[in-house]
Amino acid sequence: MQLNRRQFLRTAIGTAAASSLAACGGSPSTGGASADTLTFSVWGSDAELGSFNAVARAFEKQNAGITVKVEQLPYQQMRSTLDARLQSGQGPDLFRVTYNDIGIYSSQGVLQDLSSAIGSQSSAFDDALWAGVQFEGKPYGVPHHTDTTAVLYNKEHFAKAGIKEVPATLEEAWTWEQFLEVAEKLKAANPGGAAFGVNWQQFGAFRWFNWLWQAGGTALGADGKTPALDSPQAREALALTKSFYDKGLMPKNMLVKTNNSPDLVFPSGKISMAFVGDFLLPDLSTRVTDFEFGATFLPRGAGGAATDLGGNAVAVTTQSKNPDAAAAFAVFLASADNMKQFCEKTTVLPARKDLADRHLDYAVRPDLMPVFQQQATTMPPDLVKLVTLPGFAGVNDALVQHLEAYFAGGQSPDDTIAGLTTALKKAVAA
Amino acid sequence: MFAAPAVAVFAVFMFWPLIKVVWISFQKTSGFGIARWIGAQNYQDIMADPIFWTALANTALYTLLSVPLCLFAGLAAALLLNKKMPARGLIRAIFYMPAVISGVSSALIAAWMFNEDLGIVNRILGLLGLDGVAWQSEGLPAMLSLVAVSLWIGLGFNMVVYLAALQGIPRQVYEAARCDGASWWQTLRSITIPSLAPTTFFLVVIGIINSFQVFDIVYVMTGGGPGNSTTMLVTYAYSTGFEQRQQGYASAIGVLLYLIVLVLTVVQWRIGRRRDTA
Repeated sequence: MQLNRRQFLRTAIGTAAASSLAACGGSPSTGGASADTLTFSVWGSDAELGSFNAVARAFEKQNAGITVKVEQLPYQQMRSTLDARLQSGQGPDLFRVTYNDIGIYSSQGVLQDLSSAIGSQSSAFDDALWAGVQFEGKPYGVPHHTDTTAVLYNKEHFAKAGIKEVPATLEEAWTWEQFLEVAEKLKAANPGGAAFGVNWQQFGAFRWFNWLWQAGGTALGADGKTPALDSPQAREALALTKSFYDKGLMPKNMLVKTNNSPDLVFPSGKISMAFVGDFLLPDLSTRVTDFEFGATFLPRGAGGAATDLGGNAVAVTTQSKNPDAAAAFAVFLASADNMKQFCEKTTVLPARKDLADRHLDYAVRPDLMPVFQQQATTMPPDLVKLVTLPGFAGVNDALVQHLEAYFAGGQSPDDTIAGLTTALKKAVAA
Repeated sequence: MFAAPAVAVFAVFMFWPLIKVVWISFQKTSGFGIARWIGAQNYQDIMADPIFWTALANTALYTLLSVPLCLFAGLAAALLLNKKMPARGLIRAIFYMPAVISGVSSALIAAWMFNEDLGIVNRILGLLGLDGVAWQSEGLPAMLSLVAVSLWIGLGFNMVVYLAALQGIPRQVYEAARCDGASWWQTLRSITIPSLAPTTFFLVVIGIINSFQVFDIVYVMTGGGPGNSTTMLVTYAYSTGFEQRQQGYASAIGVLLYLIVLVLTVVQWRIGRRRDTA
């Protein structure tokens, strides 16, 4: 094979440059290109996509001439894809956004103020979720639903381990000590497996805060601005959660950076309990075929019960060619009837107060949903405030880095707390 | 004139982004809102960033392991499949298939194969009476799993390039060697390998460039963990740029990566030229 080295070198350098930059770039899209077509970018399960499409068709019927295109993006790439599009002025008309992420978008001026579109309906939304979509006193999203974490358990494993009593109410939820006892029994009864998996992987790293709040700790002081992580409670929560791996109660390949989350492993029977969000029930009900499973509450520590704020809002971008129609569709998605149907089909919890006490006819495992509904009442208000800070994404990323280093890399609790404190300071200042 | 389209494509898709990345690397920006010019601060921060140095060391280790392995395996496969044998075309296609499949798909398959609890690799080890390997929870096995997958993906390309080069070696040279009584090993060492030197040079340079830019298999299989034991330069740049939204910092990592690959390529080129002229 004959090669001219000079020519080859030039080509190689060019290739290197192009490929290096490819990793740092994004591809533009044509979202929001026309005034009569609304592009709504979402990630989601089949059930969620089906529900979004059903609402889109209903909106089109009521608004002749408007077409709503529900565009599915992979969850892992949703943020980077949207960022690249918004940076290049090619953002969609609307998009689905977590309460943790909406702050960065609203603070950077890429979202529409929805005050006039929402109007008097503002009081219809759950107070914590409504607070979650605010920036400088204005709403930049419509709360669409919420979800939270509870514990699914393998009934066969429990029977084998001789565990007959499972907490049926919040007040009966296991204490940390009781939870560890149960876990040790399960581990002994199921050799080769682990007792449980906690869902703090990647974008879910913030769920580690559940343990901090359960310990009676907090991340920010009473002023909501000063980091307060350097506390005995934080050290207690760190020590407890690290012990899950050290004692072999949680699989060592289920660390924080991995994609290997509890919901993926639970159907195999390799773990006996899985900390999962209610939105995963439709998928798990299909994939768990070899055993029966039930649901119970998160364990509680000295500070009581605590769970995370999950769920999503819908935001309208400033790049929409038809912002009024986009805002109207966002509000339509969150109407009582549409929200009720979405929640019923996708096993998530409503974001509206008027649906909180109504009976929802969940399509999948309605027997388990009351556990999630009760657990959702234990979201600490200051934790909700924390995760909806505009700079919170940086705190989640710091949790990924520092928890991974603490659990598996030999990093000390002091360095872990110091690293997280730095990220909290940045988040507050953002 | 004829070169105009190619020059235009190069300028728009390669040269302009390169300039833009260098420009952004001197800014503090999340990608939204107003960017702030901070001079060389990103580069100074990178020099003091232990994760960057870990990522650089990991990338170098990955390159050192994967490039020679891929070369050796590619050459072995090419030598084997250069001979007449049954189903030769099918076997060549099977070897080349992973190079055609998207990297993410290959990595997803590999992620399941190397899953500690459910993967086929540990199951086979179990059937052989061996303990499972901690592919996902210990640093060295995780790195080795990435190298194994890079071998699987990269072997086919190296094999095809070596096959083409093998077929370009004149038959008369082999016939003369046979008349002189040269053994298979002597023929390989004295004729085949020297004749393949330009091809090997090409594959080494391409292999190093590709290895320094490894992203998809790491992102899908290990996410850079456990700890930072498989964090590579590009996965770190992606993480800082798109997950932590520090796009100036990520651009600075990209520029440093470009310079590292450039230096390595120039060194390779000079070594190759000196050897040829010696």
